[in-house]
Amino acid sequence: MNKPVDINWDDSSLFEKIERDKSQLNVVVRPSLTYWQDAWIRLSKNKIALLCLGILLLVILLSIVGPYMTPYDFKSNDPDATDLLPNLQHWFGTDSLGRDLWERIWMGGRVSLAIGFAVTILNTMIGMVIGGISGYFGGKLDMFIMRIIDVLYGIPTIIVAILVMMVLDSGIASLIIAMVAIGWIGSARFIRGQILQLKNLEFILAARTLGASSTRIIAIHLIPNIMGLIITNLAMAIPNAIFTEAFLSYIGLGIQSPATSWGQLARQGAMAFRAYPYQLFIPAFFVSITMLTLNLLGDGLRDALDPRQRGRNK
Amino acid sequence: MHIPSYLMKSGGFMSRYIFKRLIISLLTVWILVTAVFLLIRVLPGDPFTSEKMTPEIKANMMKYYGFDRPLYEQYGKYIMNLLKGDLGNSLKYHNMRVNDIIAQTFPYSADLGIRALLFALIAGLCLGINAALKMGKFWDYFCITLAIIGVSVPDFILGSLLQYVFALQLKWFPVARWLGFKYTILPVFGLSLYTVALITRLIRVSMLDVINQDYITTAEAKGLSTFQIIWRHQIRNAILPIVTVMGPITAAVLTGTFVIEMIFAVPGMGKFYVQGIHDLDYSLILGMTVFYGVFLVAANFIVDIIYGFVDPRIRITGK
Repeated sequence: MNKPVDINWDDSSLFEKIERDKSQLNVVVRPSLTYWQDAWIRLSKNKIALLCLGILLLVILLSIVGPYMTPYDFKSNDPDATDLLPNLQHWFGTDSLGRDLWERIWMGGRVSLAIGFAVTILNTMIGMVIGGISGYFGGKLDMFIMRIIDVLYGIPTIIVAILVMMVLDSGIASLIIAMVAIGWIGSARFIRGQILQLKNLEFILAARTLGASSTRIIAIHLIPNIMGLIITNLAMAIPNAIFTEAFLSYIGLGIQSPATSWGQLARQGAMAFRAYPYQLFIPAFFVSITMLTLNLLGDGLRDALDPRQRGRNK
Repeated sequence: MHIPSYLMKSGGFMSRYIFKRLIISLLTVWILVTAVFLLIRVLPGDPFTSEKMTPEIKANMMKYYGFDRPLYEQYGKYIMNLLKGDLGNSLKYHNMRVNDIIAQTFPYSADLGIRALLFALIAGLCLGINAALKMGKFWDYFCITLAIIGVSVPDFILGSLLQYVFALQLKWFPVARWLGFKYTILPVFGLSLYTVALITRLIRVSMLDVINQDYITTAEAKGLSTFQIIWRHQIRNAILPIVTVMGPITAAVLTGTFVIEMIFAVPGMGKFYVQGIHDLDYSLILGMTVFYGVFLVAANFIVDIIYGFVDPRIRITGK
């Protein structure tokens, strides 16, 4: 054991006295970061999330410009060029009607991505309004809304979507209606729960004391405070919406040929895949890679936007 | 037998909780049944449009099946039949009752579903526990990767992929049909990977939560063996959250059977359901949707009750 060194604490020669500099008191040493700047810094340190964001943006970009990159059209048949393997003219090959698959993949990507994003955003917005009102006002209104939600929550979304799709004509709008029909219930429940946690905190009381209206309290104080969680949930729900669209189109209820989506391409590919497996595997790859990147990006967003949840559900 | 006092006190709350869940479940079934009935009546086209028949025969057919009666009368009859457990006749498979079709096909779907659920539970538990115990090491990353891929690859794609690689190319397993154990492996695997992934993620997180609790330190300090700590203190406490996802998991496995049964030609309900959608076979879809709906609502109800018993917050307060 080392013997402790004896220090004479009263020996002033050992210390240098620093005068307090009053002019430095109010100087901010580091710039103060808003919640969103802080979240962005955390997200940009997450290599996997950034890579996923990059891949996702690439897929979105190709869905926008991809169809213009070849001279073909996604609808026109070519009887002389059916079931071609991927080659220099047809980068992803052609299907059994001689339609260029590169064109169809990216036209389908537009539809799949648009539905995925539209459904999720609509669900969240409806959920925000209903969950926000129900959670904030409480009482009889909350009871009423919650009983309706309790009852509807037990009905499987996919069964409702199947039923709605049978009644409506196939198409993008119908698919969105079918998936929003009871899809908003999950986010309404979630947002109500969050609002309930927040609404009794002091800053809400302060706002109310200062005479803020209920609309203002919900819109300015409550919603922004749960925005991080809402965005995380949004990112997690998009792959589900893309999956549901693909599932419905796959069983023949969604997008119908010649219009296309990734699910519809997978359906057509599945019919031909024993002889021409690439016709299934190419759309399968893009559905899977999109869902994978969205899931991983969602994980990254949760870690960045909700530090308390960091490292959970990996 | 000694009954802990908190259980005796909570008896009233618990029965109130069960009663409440029961009422909600019954309402859910009623709404679903009514919605199915109304939606099917406003469908474009009718089941006889595809077949060549004269207007008279068609009118007779409509009359025979009761489609000419007023809507409320059809509805009343329909509800009465449902209460008797009669789901009506199939329109496409003449002279076959929907009950018979379900009775014939459900065992295959149930067989497939139960195998998939069991496999998912066992594999998910093993992978999740393993990942948590080896946190930050190879096994952990392996399990996380598997789990994230599992939730990202749709089951209809996974099914076709498995069929292509292991049946068509490698010829290790039969391509399709449902005739013996060898035939079950690919469909069960295709159906359960999503659930395996879900359970793995859930168990890993919940194990990591438990590992950092004080009572684990206490157990270590008492000198319990590692095995005892892992088995009696960690796993037992970590598997509780599985109960909460059993409802969604059942739903996922059930809808998964639609496409997996199509891909592997398993003669189960899902295959008939998808076929019924193509044929516009009203009463078949109606009957099967009601069956699926009641089945899932019942599954959720049971999960809620189990959850009520294991979660003291519900057991004590009935909320």
